[in-house]
Amino acid sequence: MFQILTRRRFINTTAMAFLGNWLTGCGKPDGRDSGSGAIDGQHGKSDASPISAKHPSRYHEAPMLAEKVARGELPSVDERLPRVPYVRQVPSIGRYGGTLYDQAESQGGRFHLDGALIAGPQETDNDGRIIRPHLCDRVEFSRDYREYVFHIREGLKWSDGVELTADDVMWWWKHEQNNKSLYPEGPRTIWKVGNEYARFEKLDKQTFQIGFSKPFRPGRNASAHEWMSFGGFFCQPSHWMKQFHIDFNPRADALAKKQGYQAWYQLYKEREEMMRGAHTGKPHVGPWTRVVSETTHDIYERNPYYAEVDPAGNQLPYIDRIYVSVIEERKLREARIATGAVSEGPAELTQIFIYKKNQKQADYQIKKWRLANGSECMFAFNLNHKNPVKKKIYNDLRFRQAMSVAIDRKRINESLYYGLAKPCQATLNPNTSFFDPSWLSYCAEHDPNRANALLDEMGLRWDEKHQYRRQPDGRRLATIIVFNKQLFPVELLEFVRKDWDRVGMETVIKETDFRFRQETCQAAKHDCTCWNGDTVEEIAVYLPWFSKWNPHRELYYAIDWWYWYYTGGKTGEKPPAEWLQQFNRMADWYQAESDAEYRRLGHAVWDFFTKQLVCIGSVAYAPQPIVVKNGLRNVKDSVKMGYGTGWAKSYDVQAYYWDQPEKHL
Amino acid sequence: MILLKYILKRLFWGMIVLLFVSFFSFLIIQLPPGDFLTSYLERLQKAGMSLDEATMTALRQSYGLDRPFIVQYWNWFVRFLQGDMGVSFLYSKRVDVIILERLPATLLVAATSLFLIYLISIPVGIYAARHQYSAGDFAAAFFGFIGMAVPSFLLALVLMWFVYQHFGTSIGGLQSPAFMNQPMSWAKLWDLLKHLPVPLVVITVAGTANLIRIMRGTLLDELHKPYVTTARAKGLPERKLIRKYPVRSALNPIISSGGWLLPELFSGETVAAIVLGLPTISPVLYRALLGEDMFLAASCIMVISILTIIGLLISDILLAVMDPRIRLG
Repeated sequence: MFQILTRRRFINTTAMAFLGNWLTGCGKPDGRDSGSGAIDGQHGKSDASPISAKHPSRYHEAPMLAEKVARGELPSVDERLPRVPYVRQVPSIGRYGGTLYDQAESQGGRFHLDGALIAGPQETDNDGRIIRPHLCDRVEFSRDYREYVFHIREGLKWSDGVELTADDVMWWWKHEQNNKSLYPEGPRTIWKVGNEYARFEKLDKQTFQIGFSKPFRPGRNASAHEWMSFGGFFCQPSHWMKQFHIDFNPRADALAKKQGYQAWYQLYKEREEMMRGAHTGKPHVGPWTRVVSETTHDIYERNPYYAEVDPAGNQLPYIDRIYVSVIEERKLREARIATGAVSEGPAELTQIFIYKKNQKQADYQIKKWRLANGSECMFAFNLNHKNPVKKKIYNDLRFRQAMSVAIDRKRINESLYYGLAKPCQATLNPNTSFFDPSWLSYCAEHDPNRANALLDEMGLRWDEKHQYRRQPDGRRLATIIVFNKQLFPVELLEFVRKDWDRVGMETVIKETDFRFRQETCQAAKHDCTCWNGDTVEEIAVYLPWFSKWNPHRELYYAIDWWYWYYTGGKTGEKPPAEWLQQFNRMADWYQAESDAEYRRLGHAVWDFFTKQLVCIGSVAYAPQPIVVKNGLRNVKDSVKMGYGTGWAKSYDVQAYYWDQPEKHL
Repeated sequence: MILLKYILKRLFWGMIVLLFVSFFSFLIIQLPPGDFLTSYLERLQKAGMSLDEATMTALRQSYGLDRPFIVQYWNWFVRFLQGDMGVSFLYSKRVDVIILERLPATLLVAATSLFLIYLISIPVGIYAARHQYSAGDFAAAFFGFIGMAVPSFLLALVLMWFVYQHFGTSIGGLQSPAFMNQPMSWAKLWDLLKHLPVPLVVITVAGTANLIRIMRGTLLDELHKPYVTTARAKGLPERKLIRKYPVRSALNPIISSGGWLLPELFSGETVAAIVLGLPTISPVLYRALLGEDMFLAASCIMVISILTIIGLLISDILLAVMDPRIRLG
């Protein structure tokens, strides 16, 4: 009989081999990446345009744009850039040319580097700590955070050369967000503060003001977060969107019908979002814009009006285009990364030996980045369970504490992450200004004795065979964890299942279709579910009701209480006093005015969340190996990957360049 | 005259079938809980994003997903009859555009592989029948059964990796990224030819096994009939005898099953196409069903049904033409 090669055995035996390989195999950072600052001589040669002979330009541009300027198709680079462009600090000055290869699941869909396509009023760094102006050169806010004034860079233009002014923003607010056909329930909820919508006001051509009826400190974060740019006011060029709007184009309905839709607002909604439609030609403000969209691939080409330069005055981006292949099958995408078909892509940690083996043939190196997830997989028990016995048990803090200390996090770390992740409780990013180090270790130690003691204290006695415990109604203590295949290894659930089994709770893991999971969880019919804990950066958790710890988000731990709070008591179930206090505290936190109050309330909110163990964490900050083709420069050596900082938006992809662009066309 | 009446009768019943097919397929597509927006939300959630209530309601109303099932079905069916297949929410494109875009690649792969299947199976089947129990017969049987038993996706993966390792061909799709956006050239054609063998082998291997066995079986039945012995006794050369009489009879089942060729061409091998990342129509149908993209899924199913009905009609007529023993009606 053959011995079955289980995945665990395989991983355990190759873990040692891998570790040695990892240490010796990872190359040193390339010397060129450590910032030269000198202007690359190549640029001088390519700027042979008549304009530069007459008026020497302050800035330099890519050869493919210089050609167009020479032919008279584009204005000169000085005219295309704003009066004061944004200067991006780059590790080394690059070379123009070449193509980045990436892959997406669907036509016009998201890909690994797509965050780089976004540009907004402000931006944040990869840590999610600094907020600085980007396409606006100044953003002011009143002391009580009720008024925000945005100063758009003078001379900032859309990718078709039309100027971006406050009129675009006003048009977006008046005719899109407040249009009843497009948004029947009103503008996006982020704009509603204290039951009133924000007021948008144009101050002059370059300046607009947003006013709130109550202090709204998260407005700073919102203007820097990637989420705002998607469908936010720097995404809708009014001069182009007007053709799809019935108030401005009487033939908008006919246009929509020609495209297969039934009404103008359906087509408008398609054109509204960048990362869903397969449309081309929409003016944008990012470094690249989509120029080709076919069944098999999308092509994004450089935006001649992009508002950034490097310290030597070269207009960014360096790379001419991004070529995105459409590959619908996930495993095929992984295989393509391993065979070097993309310029940069994430590698599966558990399959790292394949990537290492193929390094030479596919000509890439592997960088060690980290996932910014506050937990690779966190578990939430349903506090609004329909069964009263289970509800009582789950609502007992001792039960959740017991379940948390029952998990052997070290073993999960060693087996699945080669010991490279961090076993800790699910909580915020330690970078947060009001962080409390005790949160990381709260109930995170492996202590089955303490777990058993807590469960004994609760009165959950073992059965006769000392196999499982019994609930007060005599039935076996059992839990079903519903989940749909996510970004974490299913093996992790198996480990947790065994740990909980050992302290007397019969645990079953049930993989379901996402539809069924959603339906079950939204009706609060589940026992326990899990999700990863991303978006734990300070900048992102401060967006109202945004983080995963909200009871109605992906962990659905208290959806009835949320409904009660949200609808003002009309539906749902009234939360207990301490939870009502927590919701009110969160609302107060979003309206904090002083720094001290912000930190005090923030600390209180997250202390409650962490210590209530509504999300029980396993391991966090797992390593994420990234495959980078040899010859691609200015790729950061260590990055925290996460939605909280907009994924690739904070990698500075516009600073990437090829050593030899002619080889990567 | 009889033929015309027959065709009209078949077409009439065909339309009744289509009516039922359209209704039930639309119904079944809608059965899973949630709708297209649920799967859209899931994809957003996988990337860490979510949708607020206002946007969800707006999208739901915009797509007409809040209307009752029968209203949605009727809207779609009426427009389908007028040639408007609707729009796909998943791909954000018109359904007919999606199908037409993928038709060339689909036909290329499907037609070539079907041609190869017949080209290989029929002669091999004849040989196996004539030299029953010989080494060649057993070899054909052996490879045939392996071809049937090995899952096509496994074969696809193995071949894909093999071709990559030894020839450096990029995996997935019918063309390397470098060539996709360039006009046709010898280099581009060569790249296409480098990518074609894997899907062709995978699809052909699965199909030939079946056909070889059928050909062999039916020909064996014919070869034992008295008229073959008579012809041999009368001195007909063996080759001419076999070709002219038994083979023609043995081809009957193959021709009658040829009706399925037409829908096969449109949406044949799905699993291998998904695994290999081919830009054909069957993965589209698969994903449309998974994502509850009603118009795309229902329209594809309708097209396949129409092709099936037409295909079967053609094969039945062809059979009547080829075999005088069969009468229509």
